[in-house]
Amino acid sequence: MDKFKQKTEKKKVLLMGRSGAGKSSMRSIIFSNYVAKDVRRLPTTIGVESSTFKFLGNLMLNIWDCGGQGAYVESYLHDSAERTKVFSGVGVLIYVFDVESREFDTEDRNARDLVTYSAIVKALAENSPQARVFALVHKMDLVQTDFREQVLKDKSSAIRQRSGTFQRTIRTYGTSIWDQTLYKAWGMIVHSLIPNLDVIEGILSDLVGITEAEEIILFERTTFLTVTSVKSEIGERNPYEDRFERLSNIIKTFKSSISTFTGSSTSSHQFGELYIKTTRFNLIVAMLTTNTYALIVLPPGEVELQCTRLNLFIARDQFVQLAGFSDESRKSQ
Amino acid sequence: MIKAVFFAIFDNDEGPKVLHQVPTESITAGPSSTTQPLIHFPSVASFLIPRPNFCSNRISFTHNGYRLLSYPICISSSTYARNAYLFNFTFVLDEDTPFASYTTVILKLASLMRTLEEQSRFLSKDTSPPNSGKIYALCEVLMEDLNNYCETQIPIDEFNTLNIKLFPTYPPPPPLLPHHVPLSTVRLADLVDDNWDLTMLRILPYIDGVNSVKQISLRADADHKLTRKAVQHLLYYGCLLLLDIFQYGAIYAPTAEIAQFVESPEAQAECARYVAIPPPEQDSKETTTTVQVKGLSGTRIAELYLALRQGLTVRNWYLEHQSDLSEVDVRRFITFGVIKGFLYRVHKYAISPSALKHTKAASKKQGWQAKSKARSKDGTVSAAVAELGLAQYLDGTHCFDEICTELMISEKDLMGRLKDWPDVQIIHR
Repeated sequence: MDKFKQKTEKKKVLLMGRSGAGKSSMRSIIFSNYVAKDVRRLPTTIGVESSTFKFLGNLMLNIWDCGGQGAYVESYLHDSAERTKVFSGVGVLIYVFDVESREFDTEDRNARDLVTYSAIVKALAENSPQARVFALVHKMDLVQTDFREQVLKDKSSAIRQRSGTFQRTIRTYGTSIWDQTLYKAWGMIVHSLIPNLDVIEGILSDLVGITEAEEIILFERTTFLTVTSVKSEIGERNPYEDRFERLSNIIKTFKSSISTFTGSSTSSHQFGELYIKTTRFNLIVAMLTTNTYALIVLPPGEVELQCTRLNLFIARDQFVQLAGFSDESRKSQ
Repeated sequence: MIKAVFFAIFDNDEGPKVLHQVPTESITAGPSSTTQPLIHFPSVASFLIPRPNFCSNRISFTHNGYRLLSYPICISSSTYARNAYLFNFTFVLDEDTPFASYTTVILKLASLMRTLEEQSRFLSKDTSPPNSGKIYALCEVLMEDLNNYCETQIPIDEFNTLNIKLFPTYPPPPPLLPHHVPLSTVRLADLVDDNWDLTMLRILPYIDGVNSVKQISLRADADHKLTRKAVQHLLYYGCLLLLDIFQYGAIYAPTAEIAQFVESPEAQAECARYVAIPPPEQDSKETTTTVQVKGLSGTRIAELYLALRQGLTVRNWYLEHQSDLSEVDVRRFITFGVIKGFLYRVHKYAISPSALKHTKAASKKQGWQAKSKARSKDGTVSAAVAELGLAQYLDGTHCFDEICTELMISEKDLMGRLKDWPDVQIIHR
């Protein structure tokens, strides 16, 4: 297991976009357990607000929430010291577009949002060419449902055109804080950041084989973002593509209501295990390591359920041994 | 001198932004401007429009040879577009200008503006273009008036007026003790009006260069602490001088500065006018300046001052020179020398090693066991405590005037009581 032993990995995540696009709101929902309706109360971000989140033991996300006001953007781009400070060593740039913005016209080459975006991407390419870029077209809930796909397609291609050297690697998502799309996008972002993903997936697929589960989904504890999932052949036939983000959303709301009733903090371990038994399936959500939860979907039956719980218990040790995956968790378990 | 005054806010689209500036283009230059701005606003913007938790603090720093004084205010309210309104009024001064008096002004300005904004959205409602409108006018008047008159009164609306004055800051006055005698250097009676502090009004008639602070408070029937504060206040603004209690038993001696007095006939003439006893009929009128002491030349006055020396009490000195002093107010004669600084009082101090020990022991006792002791050996302890009253002054740092004033006894009584301490030494200094 030595090869997995590595120091805590710090990933710098830049969160940019024009003022009022919703950067701080999404950050608060994903990382600080805000409920969507509460983000209205957030104040404007002044300057750069940097915060660190521990994500899966050995992965530290250092999020730079950059105020998007003209004067700030000006200083990120044109003040040479500031430019190096902001754009060097970046792991991920998340650029948030406001879908409603009047400055974002896909036809107009001089639309202000896109001009700023391409200037920022250029600065990033100079200072951190290895970074990955995600563009989120935010506030999609303001667009009529029927047009959403088309709007996203148009905007995405406009963004892609202006992405310079990141043209090939950039990924765009339409998001909204009011539905699961936010979790989907952030799940993908996080997914791309996890270092030893293949090992984790290997262990999970062994577990799928042993427990005869249809699917196992691994969630991060605080954010409840999907880290990864492994499906059996039956699981492959699941028609609901957006189930992960919906589950993230549901469980997070559940956690939030737990905290309302118990008065516990949303960042604490609020539940160890939760299972649903029906005549058609069994579902277990259980703590796997200190910072992950596993969700397992099983065929119906009490025996299956109990066996899997035991198997899961045994599997815990293997995850704990994954160095860094769950460093100090041993003692607490 | 204030070089510039400007008003900056946090704009939800543009970030930190200077809205109004006096003089125009002193902070941010327009595209067609020919002059160089005093400061580079983008590099100091993060200090002037800081994060909310930095707001409501006085922020002062130097930049580009100027000192910037400001007090950013952040008002959180859901009525604002982004739940907060952040603004700041800044003064730009030269780096080497003493800025202490401006800091209170900036604080006052900020708090008034905060109130106005909270009451009536005075600042956020004002949508006039840069360098125009009410707020600009306010900055303009503020800068002009403070630079020219050091004070300003700006009516803002029906209910609010901005009253600002630059108060000079002086070093703290020397400590004031009950035995000090205040003497006014200005005609306080001419300055006073009914709005003055009540204690001050009571004590003013007793500030005459004769009464000590303690006497003033007793005679005016005013609280001693308040009297002290009032006197200290006058002292701070330089309206008073501190003298000592005049007694015939006191000793005065000339300082080195007597030489200047000896060589200056004007100073001697001034002295002659000051010390003369006015003829009785003119007593109430302010005509003492014209009165001259007959037969007392400047040289003679200097000789009289030089006759004062260590070890010679005023009484003995008076007896020696009785003939010359017949028309002289001896108290004013001595006071004149003290005021001018060429005469000083030789104070008496008492020190007693055994009293020191006693004090230490007693303070321990008081701390731990005073109560229980008082119960068991009632008589002895209370006597010891009473005696402690005097003993605590016998460490050589308290002069006789102070001891007498504190204990309300005469110097004669004090000498009598000092006999209880066989090892007491008296020092003249």
